Amino acid sequence: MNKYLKDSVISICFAVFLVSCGSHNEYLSKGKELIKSERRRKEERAVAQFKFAIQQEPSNAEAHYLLGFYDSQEFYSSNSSSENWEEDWEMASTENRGKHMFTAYQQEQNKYLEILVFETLRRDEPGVQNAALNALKRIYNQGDRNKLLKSLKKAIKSKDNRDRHDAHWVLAEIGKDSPGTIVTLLIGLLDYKRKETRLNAVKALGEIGDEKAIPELVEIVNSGSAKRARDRESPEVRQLAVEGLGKIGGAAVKELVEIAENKGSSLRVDAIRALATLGDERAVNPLLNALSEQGSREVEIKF
Amino acid sequence: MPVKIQSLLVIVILVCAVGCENRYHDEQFRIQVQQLDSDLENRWSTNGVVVISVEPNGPAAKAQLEEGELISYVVGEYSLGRGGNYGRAAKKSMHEDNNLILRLTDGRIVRLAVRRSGDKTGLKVNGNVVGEVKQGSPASNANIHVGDTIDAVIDERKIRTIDDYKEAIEEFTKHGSKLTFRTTELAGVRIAAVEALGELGDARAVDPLMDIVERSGDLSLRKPAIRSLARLVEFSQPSTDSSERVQALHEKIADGRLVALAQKYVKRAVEADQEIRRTCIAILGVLKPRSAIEVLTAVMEDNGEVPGIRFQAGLSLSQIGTDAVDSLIAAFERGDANVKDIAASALGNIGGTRSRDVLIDALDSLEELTIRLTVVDALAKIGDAPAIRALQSQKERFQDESSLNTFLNEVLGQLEAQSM
Repeated sequence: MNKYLKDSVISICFAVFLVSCGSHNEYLSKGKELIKSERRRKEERAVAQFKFAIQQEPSNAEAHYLLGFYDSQEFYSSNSSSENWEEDWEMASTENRGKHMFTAYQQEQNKYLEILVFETLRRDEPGVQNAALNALKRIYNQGDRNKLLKSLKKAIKSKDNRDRHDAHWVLAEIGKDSPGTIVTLLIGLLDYKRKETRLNAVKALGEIGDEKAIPELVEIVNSGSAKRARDRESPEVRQLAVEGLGKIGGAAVKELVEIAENKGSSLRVDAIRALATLGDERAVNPLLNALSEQGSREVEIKF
Repeated sequence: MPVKIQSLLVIVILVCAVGCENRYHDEQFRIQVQQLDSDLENRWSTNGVVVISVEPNGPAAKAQLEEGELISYVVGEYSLGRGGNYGRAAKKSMHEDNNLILRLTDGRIVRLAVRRSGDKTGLKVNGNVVGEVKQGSPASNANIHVGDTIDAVIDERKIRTIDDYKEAIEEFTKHGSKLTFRTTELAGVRIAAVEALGELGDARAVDPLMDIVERSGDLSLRKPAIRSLARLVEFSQPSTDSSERVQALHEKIADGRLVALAQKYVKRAVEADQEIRRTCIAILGVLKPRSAIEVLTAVMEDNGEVPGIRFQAGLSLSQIGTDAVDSLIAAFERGDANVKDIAASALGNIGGTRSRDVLIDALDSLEELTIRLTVVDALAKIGDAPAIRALQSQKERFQDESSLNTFLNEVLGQLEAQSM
């Protein structure tokens, strides 16, 4: 029920957006009308209209954006003979759609940056989300990087969990290609007051897998034994920090071993599980030691 | 004035630094303990302080307390023998949990539980002698009688923080000459370690895991231990990975100890747990030792065994291959319908002329339809010319038996399709 409600609200907002974007491009108007209609294959036909609109007016931001939004690979048949044709086909489609969304951004930067981060990413269709990610990556590399990061920071700090989740995903994906700036940005968010923001930042740091995050993640994990409650990070964030160390992999084995050996840590099991997936030889002896730990018992002390 | 402010600041910082310390050095027992991780209690229902270090020759070391142990309770005694006050001791003991634990002179330990704080135990004590026991009270239910003498009141203190630990130690060292640390194993760690060792593919894990299977009384550890051994067996098999670690693991597995263990624990008389027996059978199937043929055949023929495990034994025999054919034929010929069914399937998997001939002969003599179906399936797996001829002649012979005929048509159709 909630999903339907959410979809309906998004669709209405989107329809309002379409209507509000008045245009004198006849093809663009036709395409938008088609999208609003109940006609068969409306999206495929609208895409054809958006393409005409761009031919007529190559700098029409809205036409580019809508083409990027709707131009699904499903409308075409592939003539590729490659073994991975489906993957290649999807990638080419994402590239193409992202390029159109980026062109829209180039025409009207502030407007389409806001739309991409706070509206397009929210769509449930993976094709649309991937196209938006592609466009945002292009903005990071060729556009106003500072504004993009400001916008993503705003989204990851948002009260809305969808914004936070989307922002973490985009930051992680951009960070995988160029960790430097993004990792620093995410580390800066680890002290943010909203727990869910910190949680998403930790998640993104794990997904990026950059070694620079190791000391920060370790600090989060170890904060659990701080005496003052306010110095302790929440269990969920700490657990994700261990998972993050596991995703970073080989470079974090030493730290994971330390957590696994820390008898006072509730995250020993998580660290051990992370070590199991890494298959690193350095984990063997600590795990063998854990096997010989004492079970529950009574120890009488005389004094 | 600035000097005063400075002094005040120093005091505040010092107080804060001391107050924020999450470790405590216990000079009396010569150990260091650490505040437990914040969410451990919620997650694992565990509480306590962790022993970080134990100084050699100290009281704790002499009692063989070890680093890493989690002290969840400190248990002390208030002795009544030397003029101790029963009322005061009972009040202290019941302060936290409404339980009164008494050690009587006759050696009994009795626990009196009341519902709420302030409820009566029904016991009146003069000095250390029970003077009155109220009928129907917790004391009378615990079988305490007038005239019983109490040696001590026992106080169990649950430890959540370092302050709890300090208070308990301070209290009990005033009243007696010994106390007991009750330690708790951190749930899940050993199980996770056992599981992880199965994934790391390292030869050093084999012996400790086998020790757990053989010596541990804890099934929750033994089951993952045998599963991990099965994983290590998989890792040890020849593959593209010819690293030194895999080679070392292969050599370790090949030393025969694991085969001996698996052969021992496939038996119901030795191992009560089905999963362990089943996993041992699977291990033998991968390692294919000839020595396992006898024991696997015995499992296959064991009418008291779970059908799935008997079938698994047949499967492992078929993995062993040609060496198991004699044993399977013997079992097929002497066994009941269930044994025939499993053995026929295994013979079909192994193939070869001897298996084939036995199965062809059986086709004419077998009465039970289900076994005939299994034999037909086994011959179809073998699929050579004599097997196909035998199946075709069966088709002509059993034209009236619809289910067998349908199945024969199906398998012959498949064989024909394969040959094209």
